[in-house]
Parts: sequence; C-alpha cells; structure tokens
Amino acid sequence: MIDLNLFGPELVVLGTALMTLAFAFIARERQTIPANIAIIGLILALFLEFTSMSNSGTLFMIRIYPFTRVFNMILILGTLLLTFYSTDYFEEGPSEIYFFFLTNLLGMMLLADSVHLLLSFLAIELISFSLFVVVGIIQTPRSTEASLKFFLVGSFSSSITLMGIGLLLYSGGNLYYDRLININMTPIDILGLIFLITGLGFKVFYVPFMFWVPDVFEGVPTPITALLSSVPKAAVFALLIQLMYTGLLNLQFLWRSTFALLAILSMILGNIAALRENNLKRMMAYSSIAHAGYVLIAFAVNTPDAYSSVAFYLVNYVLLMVGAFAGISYLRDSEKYEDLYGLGTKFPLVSIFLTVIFLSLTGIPPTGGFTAKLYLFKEAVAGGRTDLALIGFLNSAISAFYYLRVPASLYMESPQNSLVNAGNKTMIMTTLWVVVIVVLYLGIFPDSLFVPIKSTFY
Amino acid sequence: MLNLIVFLPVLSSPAIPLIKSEKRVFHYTLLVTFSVFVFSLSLLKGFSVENPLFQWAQTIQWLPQLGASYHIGIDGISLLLILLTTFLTPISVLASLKSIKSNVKGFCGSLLVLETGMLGVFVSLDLLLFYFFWDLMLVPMYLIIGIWGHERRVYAAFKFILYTLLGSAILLIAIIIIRLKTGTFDLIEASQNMYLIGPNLKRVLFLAFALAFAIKVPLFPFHTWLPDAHVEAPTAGSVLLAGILLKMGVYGFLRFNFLLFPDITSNFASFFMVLGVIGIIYGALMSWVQQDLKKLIAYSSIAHLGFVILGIFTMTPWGLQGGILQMFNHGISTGALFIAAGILYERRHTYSMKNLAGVAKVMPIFSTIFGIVMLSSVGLPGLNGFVGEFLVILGTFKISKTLAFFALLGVIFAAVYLLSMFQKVVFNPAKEKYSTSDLTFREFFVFFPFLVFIFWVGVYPKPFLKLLKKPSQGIITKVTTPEVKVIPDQPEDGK
Repeated sequence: MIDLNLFGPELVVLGTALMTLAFAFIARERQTIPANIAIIGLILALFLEFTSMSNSGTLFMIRIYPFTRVFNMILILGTLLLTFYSTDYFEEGPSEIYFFFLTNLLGMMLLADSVHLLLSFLAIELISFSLFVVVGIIQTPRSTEASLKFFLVGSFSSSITLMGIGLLLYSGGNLYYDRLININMTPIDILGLIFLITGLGFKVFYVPFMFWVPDVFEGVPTPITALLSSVPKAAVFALLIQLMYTGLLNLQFLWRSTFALLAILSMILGNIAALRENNLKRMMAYSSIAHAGYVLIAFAVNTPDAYSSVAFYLVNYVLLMVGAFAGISYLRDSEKYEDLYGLGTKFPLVSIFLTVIFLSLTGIPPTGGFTAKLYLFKEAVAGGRTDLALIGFLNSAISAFYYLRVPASLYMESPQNSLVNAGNKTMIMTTLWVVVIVVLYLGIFPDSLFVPIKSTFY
Repeated sequence: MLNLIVFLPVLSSPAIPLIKSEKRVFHYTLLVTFSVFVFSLSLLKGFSVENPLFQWAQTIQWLPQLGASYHIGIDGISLLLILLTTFLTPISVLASLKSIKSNVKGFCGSLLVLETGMLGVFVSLDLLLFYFFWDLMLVPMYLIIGIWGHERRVYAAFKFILYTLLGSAILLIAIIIIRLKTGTFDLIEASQNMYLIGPNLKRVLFLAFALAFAIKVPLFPFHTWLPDAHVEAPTAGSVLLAGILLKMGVYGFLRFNFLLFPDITSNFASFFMVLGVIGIIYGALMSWVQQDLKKLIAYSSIAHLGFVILGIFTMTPWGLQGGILQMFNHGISTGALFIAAGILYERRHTYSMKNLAGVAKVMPIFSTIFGIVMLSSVGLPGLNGFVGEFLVILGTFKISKTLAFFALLGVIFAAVYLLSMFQKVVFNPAKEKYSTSDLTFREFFVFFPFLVFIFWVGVYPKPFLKLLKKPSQGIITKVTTPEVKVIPDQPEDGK
C-alpha cells in the first residue's frame, strides 16, 4: 500500500498546477484567480511538508526523508515568494505563467526526491521545459533572443547529461544512486562523470559553463530572472549532493578536486566579471555564478556538515535573489544603476530593505548571508580546505564593491529623472518583508535553523 | 547595564521614522546618545581599578552549535574607550546639527547603529561576537561617508569599506582556525588553549590578526584609505572615524594579539615599533606639505597613531599606559580639530588653508579655542597630549634610544606643521576682507567638554592612568611569562 501522505506536498503541487491551468482558461481576463489558487496551494504544500517532516519512506525511484523535505521547503518557499512577486508584476500578463511555475516546482521537488538517475533526468527535463516556456512567455525581441539561447543551451546540456547517465549505466548496470557504488575508475566511468558534471554545470551555471547566463538574464522580465537565478539552482544542488555523496563516492578524489578547481574559477571569474558590469541584471548573473562557486566548496570538502551548510546557504540565497529582484522591480523595473539614483529618500522603506538584502548578499553581519558563509567556510576549514575558505572570504569582500553599488546608487547619487513605477504593490512588499525578516533573523540566530537542518542529513 | 549601553542606541533607532520634524529627530538622537553617556558613567561606579579580571562580565548562550557565546565584559582599557565613544557620539550629533541637511533621519539612524557597533567591539570577549560588531559598524560608517560626505565621497566610501573588508576576511579565517584548533570562540578560553596550536601556524594567525588591525589603525603601509575617508567624510564621520574607529585597530592589537599570542607578540614587538616610528615620521612629513586643513589633520592622525603603536609595543608599563592614554588623547584632540575644521567649513565652504586665512580677526573666541586644541595635539606640557607622548617616549627610551630619538623628532615635526597650520589659518592676513560670526552658543558648548578633558588629562592624569594600570600590568605579565610556565596547569582545563 502506498502511503499517499508521504507525497502530500508533491500531490498538492500537482493538483494546484492543474487547477491554475484550468482557471487560466476559464477566466481568461481575471489573472488574479490562478495566482491566488497557486498561492493557496503553495502555502498548503509548505504546511504539509512542515507537518510531515519526520515522515519518510521510499517508493520506486523516490526516496523522501527529512533532508529532501528541507530542500523541498526551500523550493516551495522560493516559488511562493516568486508567485507573490509575479502577481504584482504580471498584472495583465499571461495567467498561464503560474501553471509553469508549479510544474517547474514539481520537477524540482522530484529532482530533490529522486534516487534514480533516470527519474532525475526526467525531472530535469520537466524543469527545463517549464522554464523554456516561462522564459519566452512575454514576447519582445530581446526575450525572444534570450529564450532561443536558453532553449539551445538547455537542450544541449540535457543531452550531455543524458550521455553521462548512459555511460554510467553502461558500466554500472544500474542507475539507483546507492548502487552506483559499483562504479570504479574505468575510463568510461570517468567520461560519464565528466559528462554529468558538464551537463549539470549548465544548469547550476558554474564556470566554464556559464557564458550564456548574462544574456538570458538580461533579456527576460525581472521576475523570470529572479526565478532562473534562484530555485532551479537549489534543486540541482540537491541532486548533486545526493548523487555525489551517496552514489559516486568511489570517484570522490576525482570530483572533489574538480569541484575545488571549478569553485575557485567560478568565484574569481564570476566576481571579476560582475565588477566590470554596468548592467544590474548582468551583474546579478555573474554574481550568481560566484555564489555557485561558494557552494561548490562544500563538494570539495565532502562532509555531511558541509552539505548541511549548503542547505542553509541555499535558504538564504534563494530568498535573497528573489528579494533583490523584487525590490528593484518595486522601485523601477530597470537594469541601469542610473535609474535607481536618489530613490533612497523617495522610498525609504524599500531602500532600507534593499540595503539589507545586498549587504546580506555581500555577507556582512548581522544578516543571514554572513552566517551562511560563516558556516560554509568553517566547514571548509574543518575539512582541510583553508585555501578555498580564504579565497571565498576574499571574494566576498570583493563582491562588496559591486553589491554595494546598489545602496550607493539609492542613497549617494542625486536623482536623474523623476519617472517612477507607480501603482499598488502590496504583494512585492509582502515578499520583501518576508525576505528581510527571515534574513535578519537568520543573521542573529542562525542556529535555530541550522541545527534542525543538520539533524536531517543522514 | 553593559547590555543596556550597547543596545540602547540601535534599539531606539526604529522610532526615528515615526518622528515628523527633522529637528526633533536630532533632539531625539541627542537625548538617546546623551543618556547612553550618562549610563556609561555609571559603569565607573561599580568598577574596581584593582581588579585584574574582566568586570560587568556576562555570558549568554548564543550559538551553541558553532561554539560562540554572547560573552561581554570590560577592563580598564575598554572602559576608557567606551567612555570616549559615548562621549564623542552626542558631541558629533551636536556638531552636525547645522551641517547635515538632507535625509536627517537616515543620518541619525546610521549614527545610532554605528554607536552600537563601536561599543559592541569594545565589550566583546568572544571572537565571533567581536567580528560581528566589527563588521556591523562598517556599514553605517560607509553610509555616513558616502551619503553626507564631500565631492569624492562615493570613491572614499568604497575605498574605506573595501580595505576594511579585505582585512576582516583574513581576520575571520584566522578566527575560524582558532575555533577549530582550540574548540572555542571564547577569548579567555581560547587564550588558555593556544598551546594546542603549533608555532608556525600561530605565527601565521598572529600576522592575519595583525594585518586586519593594522589596516584599521592604520599602520604605515596600509594607511592609504585614511586620508580619503577622513577628508571626504562629514564632520561627525571624521570625528568618529578618527576618535573611535582607528582605536579599534589598536584595541584589537591589545585585546587579541597580546592576549592570544603573547610570545609571538614579543618576538614581533621591535618590528611594530619600527613601523610605529615610520608612521610618526611619515605622518608628520605628509602633514607638513598639505595645503588642505582636513588632510593635514588626517595625516597627523597617522603620526599620532604611530605613537600609540610605538607605546604599546614597548611592552613597558610606561609605554603601554602612555600609548593607551594617547589613544584617548588623540580622540579628544583630533576630534576637536575636526570639529574646528567643520566649523570653518560651514562658514567659508573651503578647507584650503590659503583661503581660510585671517580667522583671528573675525573669530577671536574660536581662534583661542582652536589654539588650545592645536597645542594639545602638539603635546604642550600641561595639556593632555604631553602626558601620553612623554610616557611613550619614556617607555621607548628604555628599549631603544634610536627609536626614542626618532619619536622625539616626530614631536618636533608635529610642532612645526601644527604651528604653521595655525599661523596660516588664523594669523595670516586674509586675501580679501570678509566677516563671519564667531562661535554660537551651541558650538561653544560642543567645544567646552573637550577643553575640560584637555586640561584635566594634562594637569591631573592620575585617575586615567589608574584605570590603565592593572590591564597593562596584566599584559606585561602575560608577555614576559614564557609560555612553558603556563602549560602545566592547562590539562585540568582541557579535560
């Protein structure tokens, strides 16, 4: 007998997705109905996930245990905030978009739950297809270009991932993570690992598979940029953690050093590129590459504690990315620093929120961004990679230079023109309140979240 | 009590947006900072100068997972610096009453957060807590320089925060390594467990701490952020930057390098003494050639901080007490000098000494006070600067006569550049006639407490030195006791 309670949240998300689609067709003019359904469904899913925290079990290719629940909660929360944000942003926009938000979420949750590479691949495809649609859903010349690029890169990377999976199947004979243990250091296995790391690299965008990211980020509407930069990355990291830690341990000396190298490159190149960037969205794109680099440090260390700190890091990261883009959209939907000039006095509250968010992205106390880096790098030092931690900290110091340009534009420059986004934006404001409160709370009392997370990892 | 003092400023800042008129915001901030000052005076009452331990100490569990706790406490050194902080903050609010016109609420809010950060640094006895406050105070300072500063403010603000963040990145790594090796973030426990760390790693850690603090002081090769930040900051920013923030670097040396690495500190002492002397000479020479009043004061800070570093690294009772007292003196004299420069700027809108000339005729009262402040910075006997510098040189003389000679040279240079500055600004004939009002009552009230301290420390420094006696004795015993002697009673602690 299958225990349906186990999959409560996933089923709720699926049901909500179908309902939003139905209502998107029935009530074409009323964009708010599907949005509200999505919000209610997501809150319900989050609640279910929370209450069934200790409920774990396995079904075919799915294994649910507290650690995946933590990741699912991050993903649901991220999507919920994005939905809040989008209801204000796409007021007239396509109401189908929430359906794709939810299918994307479903794919991500399955990816976190999966213990079989085939299911993981299908989940990745579900994510990719949802994102393909979302990226191209508003048609402007720039977003068309962006969606084409995204589609080409996405399908290319999927096929590379599939190739890697195939090679592993050839030598391992089985795709369950825990049976990949049989895999040894044959050339085919190594090739499979390389393909896998490459394919997933496109999804998480670490160096050197990130060249497409800024172009796509720049071309799509801001909430979509927020979506692309936040939750899917967290989901793929969930996959990587389980795949590497349970499956490919035999090859660990190989991928640990690879990830260490990729981490260094991502941090340094991402930061340097972000430094030189004058476009806000492209800056955020490069900086999200740098963040991927920080997270990869955990893979170079490969200890349970390091992976727990990744989960903690991703909670902050997802919230901050969504919050940063939401705040900028609130002020003025723009990608130029100049357009933010002098808005600090006009919108005091949002400006303070944005300042907190960008300080947190930099990693300055008392914010969650600081504690997240502290935990992560502490595990790096504990795992014997002081060098990576040092590079990480120096890079986050450098990141102050471009992240703090946002508060600097808000406060330190005189206004350029008086055009301001008007209108009621209570939902974006809600998003910002949630993000800032959580981030400050995690900055001062990080243990209240980190300890539960840590207890869930195996 | 200590908690109240540290957190009162930040906790009272959320009320600022609720206040309607900007004038009221200033009054409110003034009220808060002044009551913090009054509260901090009450620390003196319960403080015993004979007690070598940390007083008003308190430990609350904070992050058991990481091993960090909320552990605070003060000794004589931190008490002196806390008093300096709580004293300078209301003064700098008072001094900004006229000069800060835009976004007053933001300014007062930043100032309050800044005060909490500064006080937090001086009370923390936990490495992570210390780091927490150390970085916390960067942000409001960055905003104060960047929003309310002069023309090149954004550049200066970025330079300030980047230098400090790079230093603190290294500091944080060192802190984490200490945590992993000694098993605790707690300063006192860690200092007892330092024997667990090998000598080579210890040296690296010492240098990491020293680098972060040297940037803050700033010690000679790391000083380049200071002139920019000081010159571009608004008056309140310069006062607090010179008065408190620079002291945090020295305080870091005293509290962390000396306590955690006593043996290595004494190995490196002569190196830092030489750097201190270079700072004295370099700062003096640079001040000499400045045409800009604020830049001159900024470079003179480097020279003064050179004295402080020289003094504390002599590791003699005189040198240490003199160095620490000199920190306090520098906060007073340089703070007053910056306020004087700010007052001139408000009236004449320039810092150029050529254009400022002829102040004596139009502002006699101001000129008198300015003269006293300037002389206290020179180190005239009977004023506060003399006591500190004299003790430092006395201490240095016991260690190295050459260094003492160069330090003395620095004193003479200081007299030269400060007196010539005074002549240019106050006595030189004005290029064209102008008239401006003398000090207002508010401005006089700003200066008055400075004058009290200048004469008090100059004539009767005993109460201040008494405060510093035990802590500096503690440092000297720590440094001069070979580590081997400390180890035997450790195992009971460790197990």
